[in-house]
Amino acid sequence: MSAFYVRFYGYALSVCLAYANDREDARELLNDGFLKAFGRIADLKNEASIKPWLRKIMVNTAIDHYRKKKPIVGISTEQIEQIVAEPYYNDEAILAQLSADHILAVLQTLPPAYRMVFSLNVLDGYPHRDIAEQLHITESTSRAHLTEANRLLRRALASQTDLSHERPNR
Amino acid sequence: MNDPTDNPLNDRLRQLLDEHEAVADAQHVSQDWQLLWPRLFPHRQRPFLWLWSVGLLCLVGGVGWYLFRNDSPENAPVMPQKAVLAQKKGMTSLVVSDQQTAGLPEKTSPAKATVWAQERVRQMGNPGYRDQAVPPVSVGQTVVIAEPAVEDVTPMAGIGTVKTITKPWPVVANRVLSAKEQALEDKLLSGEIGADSTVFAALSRNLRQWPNAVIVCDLTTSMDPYAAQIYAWFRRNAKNPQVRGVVFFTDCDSLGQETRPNGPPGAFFTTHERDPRAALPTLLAAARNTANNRDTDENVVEALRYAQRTFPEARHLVLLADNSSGVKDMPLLAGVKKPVHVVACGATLNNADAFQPDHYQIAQQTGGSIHTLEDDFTPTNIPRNTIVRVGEHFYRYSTRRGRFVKTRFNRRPVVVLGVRL
Repeated sequence: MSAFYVRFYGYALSVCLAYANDREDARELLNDGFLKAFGRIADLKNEASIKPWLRKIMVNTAIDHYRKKKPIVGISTEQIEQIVAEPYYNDEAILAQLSADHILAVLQTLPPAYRMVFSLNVLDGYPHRDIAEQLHITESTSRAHLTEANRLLRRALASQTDLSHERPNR
Repeated sequence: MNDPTDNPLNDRLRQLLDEHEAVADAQHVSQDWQLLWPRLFPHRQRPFLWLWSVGLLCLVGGVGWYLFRNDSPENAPVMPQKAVLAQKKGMTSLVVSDQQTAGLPEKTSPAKATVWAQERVRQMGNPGYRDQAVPPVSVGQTVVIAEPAVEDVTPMAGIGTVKTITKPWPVVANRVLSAKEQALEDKLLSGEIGADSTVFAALSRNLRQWPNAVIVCDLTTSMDPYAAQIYAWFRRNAKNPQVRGVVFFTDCDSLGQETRPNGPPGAFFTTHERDPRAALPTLLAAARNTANNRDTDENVVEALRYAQRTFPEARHLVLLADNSSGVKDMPLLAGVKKPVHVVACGATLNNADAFQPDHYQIAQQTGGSIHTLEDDFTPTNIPRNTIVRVGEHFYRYSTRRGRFVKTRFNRRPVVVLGVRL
C-alpha cells in the first residue's frame, strides 16, 4: 500500500495541482483521493488502467471539494462575455518555453470556477453538458468559463514568457 | 462559444500535462503518508480499545453496584418490619457465696480462687454464652453482669435489605406544622426542584470558582423553591467544601415585624448544615418569621453585611435574590467589601427589565457577577450585544443605554453573517 502510494504520488499530485488553489490544497485533495482509491482498490481489474482509474478518482474528489467550497460570489456570464481587446499571443512560442510545472502554476492563478471548467474540459475531456451537471451550472456558463479561462491563461502564460508577436494572417 | 483558436493551446496543454508527474519532495510524501495512515486504519490507532471498553464497562458496573448496595438511608425504601418479640437485655446481680465455693479446694491460692470465682459467675449468669467477659471477682464479692437476650426470638425476615434511618429526626419534625411549613419541609426533603432550576444550575456552573463562599438566601414568600434547590444541590454535592454556610433573611426583625428605617435590625437565620434534615429547623424558623412581610423590597444589603460579619473568612457572597423584589437598604452597600454573585431567581414584575436595577448595582459595585438559568456575566465587563434569557424572554445588552433591553425573540437568536436570526 505504501509502495503504491509512493509510486503514484507524483502522478496523482500532478492531477490534483490542476484542480487545486495551491500545493497544500493539492496534497489535501491527493490524500482524500488515495483514501477513496484504497477503499475501492478491489474494483481495479486491469493493472494497465491504474493511471486512468486513479485520475478519475482524483478528479471526482476535486469536484467534491469544489462543491463543498464553492465560492459564494459567482461570476456573471455578462461579465465574461464582455469583449476585451486582447493583444495576440503566439501559442507555439509561448508553450515552447514553458514546462508543465509552469503551466500548473499558472492554472492555479485562475479563479476556481474557471479552473474547474478548464481542467475538466481540456485535460480530462468532459463535455460541457457533464461539467454543467457536475458543477451545478448551466451549459452556457461552462462554455463561457472555458473561454474566459483560455483568455486569462494565455495572458498569464505570455506574461511569464514575456513574448508577444504579430498576429499572422490566417 | 468555444473559440477555435483556443484548440491548439488546449491540445498542447493536454499533451504536456497528460502523463506529467509532478516532482514530489520525499519529505512531503512521507508526511502525507503519515497523515493518511491513521485514516486508512483507524482501528489500529487504538489497539487495546476493546480492552479499555471492557474495563470501563466493569468500572461503571462496579460503581453502579456499589451505589445500589450502599444507597443512602434517606433514599432507601424502608420496608415495614415485622413485629418482633425481643426481650430487653436485663441486668442480674450475683453473689458468689460460700456455699457455691464447695468445690474449691481448701488450700487454694487467692489468685486461683479469683479465677475460679470468675468462671463460676460466667456459668451462673449466662450458661449458653461462654465467652462473655467477666471482670476479676473474688469469693463473696457482688458482681453485675448483663443477661443475654432470649434465644427463641423469631428471626427478622429480610433483615439484609431493611435500612433504617440512623439519624434522629429533628425535634421540630415532631411538632404540628402549618400547611406552609409542611409544604416547605416536603420540598426540602424530597429533593425535587420542579421546573425552575435556576439556583441549581447557577451553583453547578459556578460554585467551583467561588472558594469559601457563603450563600445568602432571600426566604420571603415566593422563594421557598429556591431555598429547596440549595439543599437539592447539596444533596448531589455533599462533599463540596466550598460553601461555608447559608444565611436566610426574611425582611423581618426578631419579633416577626417587617424591618423599617431606624427600627430593630432584621433577623437572620444561619446554618452550617448541608444536610436538609439538619437544616430543616432553621428553615422552618425563618419561614415562620416572614409571615408578616408585606412589601416587596427586602433588606438584602443588611443580610449581606451580616453574612460578611458572621463569616469573616468567606471570600465570596452568593446572593439568591428574588428578581421581582427591590432592595430597601441600598445606602448601606458601601459596607459590603466582598464580591457578591447575584443569582436572579424568576423574572421582573413587568418583564421590561432583565434584572432588578438594585441587584445589578450590587453586583456591579462589589465586583461580582449575575447569573440566571442559562447565563453568567460580569456587569463591569459585558460584551456588546450579549444575550441573556430571563424567564421566557431574551434580553440584549445595549452599550448605548448601558442596560439590557428586551428583544422580540422567543428563542436565543443565532448570528449568521452579522445578522441575528
